[in-house]
Amino acid sequence: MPVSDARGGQQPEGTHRPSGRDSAGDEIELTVPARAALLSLARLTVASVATRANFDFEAVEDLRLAIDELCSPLVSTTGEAGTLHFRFCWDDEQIEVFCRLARAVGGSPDDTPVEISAEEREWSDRALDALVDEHGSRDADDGGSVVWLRKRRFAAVMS
Amino acid sequence: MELTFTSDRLQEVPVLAVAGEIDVYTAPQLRERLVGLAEPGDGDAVVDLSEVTFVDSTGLGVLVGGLKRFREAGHDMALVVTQPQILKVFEITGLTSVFSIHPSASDAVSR
Repeated sequence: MPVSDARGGQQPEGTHRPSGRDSAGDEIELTVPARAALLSLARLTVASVATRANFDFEAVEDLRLAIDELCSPLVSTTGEAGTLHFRFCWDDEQIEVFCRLARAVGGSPDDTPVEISAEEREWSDRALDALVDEHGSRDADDGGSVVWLRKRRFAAVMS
Repeated sequence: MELTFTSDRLQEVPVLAVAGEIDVYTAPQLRERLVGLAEPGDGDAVVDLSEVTFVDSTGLGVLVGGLKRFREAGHDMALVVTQPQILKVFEITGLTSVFSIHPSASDAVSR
């Protein structure tokens, strides 16, 4: 069931802010086929958001890698199996990215999930732990998946 | 988005220069080029990542796969990494201790 976002709009189930904060910050959404070739659009978008939010260059690069690591397991070679719904939220303190994979009913017989080895998953986990303050994933009720991350500004100084 | 490759030899050592972003989509292109880089039994090789602006864990997997081929033959596949954000990926994943990483191709072939 859709839930209302902070601005009163309708939001697909499971795409509420991971922190649950009602911030006065900004947010944008991006919807793309869950295709490996289009992950670069998510990287480009988070870099633009982070730059707009005055994150420094290193933090921008951290977010580019983090969103890629989070979403790589969700994409396939053709993207016919579903759609990625991104929600980018930011304010003076942090950036949050939420991504939901909505699986297409039936999918395509030509659709091939991207193969990620156990070693690569381990490196991915290490990278995410180092790059962002919080990240997570869970299976969605509709058979899709949900992933999210949060990166605070100057987290290293504040902690 | 595609990767671009330039093959060369430096002091008889094959050097593959890569440019672009290495991710889950482009990593297979790199895997294919690494297989064609050289026969691991023939000696060492260098992969120059100076013009790579992004690499993720799937890209690392391809590079480690290439390294394993050379190490099994008693040789090495050194890397050239000059960009701090790329070096950081190797550092946070613990792979700086696995690869021989150099600031230039000439440095890599002279060691």
